Amino acid sequence: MKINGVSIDDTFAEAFPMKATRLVVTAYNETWAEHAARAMTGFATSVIACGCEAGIERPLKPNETPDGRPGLAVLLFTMSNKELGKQIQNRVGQCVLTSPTSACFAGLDDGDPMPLGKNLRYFGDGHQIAKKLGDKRYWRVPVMDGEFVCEEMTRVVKAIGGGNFLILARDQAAALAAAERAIAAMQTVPGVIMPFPGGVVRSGSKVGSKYKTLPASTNHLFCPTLRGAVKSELSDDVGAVLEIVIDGLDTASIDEATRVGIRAACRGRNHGVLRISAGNYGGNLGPYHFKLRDILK
Amino acid sequence: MTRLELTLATAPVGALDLSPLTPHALAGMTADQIRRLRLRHGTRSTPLGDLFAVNGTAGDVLALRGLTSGCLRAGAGLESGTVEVTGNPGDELGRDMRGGSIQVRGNVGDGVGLGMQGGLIRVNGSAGDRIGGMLPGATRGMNEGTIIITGDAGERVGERMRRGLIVVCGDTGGYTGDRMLAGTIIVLGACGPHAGAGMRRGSLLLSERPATMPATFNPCGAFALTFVPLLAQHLAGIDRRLARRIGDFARAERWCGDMAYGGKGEILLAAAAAGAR
Repeated sequence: MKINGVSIDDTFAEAFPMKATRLVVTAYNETWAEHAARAMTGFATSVIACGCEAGIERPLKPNETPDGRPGLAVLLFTMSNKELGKQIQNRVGQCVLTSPTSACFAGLDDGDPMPLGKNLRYFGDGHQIAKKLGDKRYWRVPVMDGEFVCEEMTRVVKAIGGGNFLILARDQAAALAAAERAIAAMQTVPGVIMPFPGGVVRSGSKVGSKYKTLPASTNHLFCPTLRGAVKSELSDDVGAVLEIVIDGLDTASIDEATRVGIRAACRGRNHGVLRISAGNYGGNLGPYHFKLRDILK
Repeated sequence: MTRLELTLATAPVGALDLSPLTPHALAGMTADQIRRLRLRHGTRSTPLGDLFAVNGTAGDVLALRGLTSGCLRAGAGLESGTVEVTGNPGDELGRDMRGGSIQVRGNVGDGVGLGMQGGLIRVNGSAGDRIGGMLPGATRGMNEGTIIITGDAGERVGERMRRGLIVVCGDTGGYTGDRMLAGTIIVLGACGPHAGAGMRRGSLLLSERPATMPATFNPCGAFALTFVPLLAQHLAGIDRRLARRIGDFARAERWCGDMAYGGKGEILLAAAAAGAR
């Protein structure tokens, strides 16, 4: 299978079940909503060492937010409910509560309830005020610029983490340009985030290492500089590989993000992209298999 | 959607208790069965058919037409569906209501939504005293739900209110939010004396500054509180025009009180009202 001259490997991305929530962060204007959301989703590229994977899903217009102010939808993914609860507390408490004019709301209506402002309210030291509007309960916590409004509970749903594809290109510049095109297209797909810096990861990993303490190490089969040293997956003309990792609320969202991402990566003339592949562990670890050729049919 | 219309044909002599008449209570009953229903009427009970003309089929909507001040407890205990009321019903409309909605065209007596636990009451007219107040013997007033009065309201709006939202588009009498425990009351007209007396928590949003602010409330300054747009968005789901009027509170003067009762309540004066000292 080829798209615009780019060979699509007959392989699949192997993904795993995760737990996720969507939060809506609002503020006085787009700039401050983004400051809060970016801080909250910082250092959240991989559950391996960050505790969660998080990113901005999309900007929200004032008519899409609970308080009628500009905002952003943020998705957080973890391996367990317990860890997600901890990450929500820490990240909202340290990054959103602290950000001027911010407020934080649940972005999902269905799923298991999980505390959002329920514990953060104690920052109010007894001066916090509860407000129940309809079937939702909010906390108003007095802070130095006015008040921090936060919904009491958010909702947690089953989700999928680790969808991915690899862009194998002639050189670093071509791989980067293709990845940027892919990310720009994928950011229009609802229900997914690409948690790595700029949505792109250059240090694709494999499970385990020769060092006992390391749970993951470099994916040496896709490292072009090791082509002469290992049984490489790369042909001689591949100079750089970049990976895009996708976490999504459901398989359909990841399918769609993969589809638009690969098509965008392969778009244009002299793009320098040679192959599209995907990372997997032989199909034995993750129950979700995103077959590239089926998705791109 | 099925609809049953009960039109008052004979004005009641003394109090007529309409609490047995809700969509869920009448569901599945034939017109004859409904006519034979006995309603407490003064010291006696009277077949409904002697007082009301019955039209339509019992279902989601119950229309009570031509009610007079002797008709008490219309929509009391409502759990689901809609009760449409025309006329000027008497006291305790929507008493102990749990869900659904009551829409009234006309003026209502005292005790609208006493002990209310959910749902929506909208009165296109004025209402009497103790809106959202306590049931006899209870220590707390309404616990959930929304009451909207497009006209004026009497005294003690939201007395001992625990939770929920009351909006009065006109004026209110004295002691608005009297001994309020929590919840939100919005008054878009003038507010009588002693607003928020004995208030423990909750919010009282006043479009007009009372003649004298209560001595046990302290000024905190004027703010653009994040809670206000959130409240406006919530109201927009019920009444868009009303929600726009909440924009008056986009910047509001906050008074905390009642300081004699912990001071965790607040009176928010709309910016225009706050300026009119």
